[in-house]
Amino acid sequence: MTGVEVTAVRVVRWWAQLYTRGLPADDRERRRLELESDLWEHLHDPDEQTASRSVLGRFLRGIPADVRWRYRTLLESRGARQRSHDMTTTQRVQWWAPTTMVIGVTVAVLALLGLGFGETESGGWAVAVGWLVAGVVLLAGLAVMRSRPLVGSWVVIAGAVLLALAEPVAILPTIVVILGGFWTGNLVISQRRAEATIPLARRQSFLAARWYVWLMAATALGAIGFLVLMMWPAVTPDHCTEANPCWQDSAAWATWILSWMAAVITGAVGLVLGGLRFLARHRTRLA
Amino acid sequence: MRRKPGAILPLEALILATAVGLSKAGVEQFHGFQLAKQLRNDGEQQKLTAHGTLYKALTRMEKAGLLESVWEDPDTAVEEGRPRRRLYSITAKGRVVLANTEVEVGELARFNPGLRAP
Repeated sequence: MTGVEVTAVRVVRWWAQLYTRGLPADDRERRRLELESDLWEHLHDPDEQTASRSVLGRFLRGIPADVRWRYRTLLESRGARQRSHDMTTTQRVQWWAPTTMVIGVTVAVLALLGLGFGETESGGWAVAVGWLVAGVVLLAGLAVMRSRPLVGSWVVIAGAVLLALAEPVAILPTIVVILGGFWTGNLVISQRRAEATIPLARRQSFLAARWYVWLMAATALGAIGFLVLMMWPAVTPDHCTEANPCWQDSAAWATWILSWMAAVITGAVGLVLGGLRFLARHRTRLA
Repeated sequence: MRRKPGAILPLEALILATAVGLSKAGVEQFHGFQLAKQLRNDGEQQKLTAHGTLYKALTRMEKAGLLESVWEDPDTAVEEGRPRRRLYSITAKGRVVLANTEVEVGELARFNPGLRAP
């Protein structure tokens, strides 16, 4: 095989590994083995002159179908009634609920701080209220999802959209919430889920996620916040240096401090939630 | 887009028609790449069917009872030095569904000459 062909095979294998992750072993292995066979036949077919290009073309054109197949397989394997809870308690995909909860709590805390410190100039009050509403809606959506998955999904989506509308800088957490929710299946809407009213066992609640997941979610979100901060040109104007720190540019520094606070509070919220979860687990073990 | 229960997609009709064609040629079982190549060579598709599209359709058709499949004997694959193939074949139900589809398309074609049976 040529170098291009080897690369094409690696790309297809990587994608197959990715979209079959978390699926039942039978479905996962069958799809991977069938693709292995297909790739081999394709690359060894004497009639195929430009096999590597053709392999990559087939891979790219098939991505939407792969994604749809993944969701259908997930739905069939987990069952619509239990899917939401099963998936949040499955180790591989349980990051979504803690992440969304950390975002919701952080946004609400920041909004309250903003209101408390009198952040009312130049539309700051409206932004703070927007953040508060978005945070509350996100958390309410998570709570509703426990008993009414369909309604809860829409409420979470609404909270994420509100967050992006209130503060365009927050588009990244919004993407994390919505795309992450769809990827893990927590926000996959189906009519059957509308009928689902599930009495939750204690261990099935969102807090069942392991303590280090909270910590990782918070750390990752803090890191994302920091990266956004570093990349946000309005925060640190080019003419501001250590010698000339632009103290007079209060808006820039307010944004800078607020962004640091966002990163720190996100981490703190994650630490607190992680610590609570750790203690709860410890107490359960002792009992 | 949701489809009506029992309805099949154009690609599924093409796969069934190709499976019947291969069967008539003495090939009762076929694998995924062979099918993609046959679809292209028959002029039904300009390019080889995408991986995702092809295997999603095959899986769905098998669940619907239109096709059945088995893994080939591992010894055969080892002897030929290649990965094992998943071998598909059309079922009696698949033949019936294809025949019904051809009748429907034939009726539509009377009003729209541009249409042709799969």
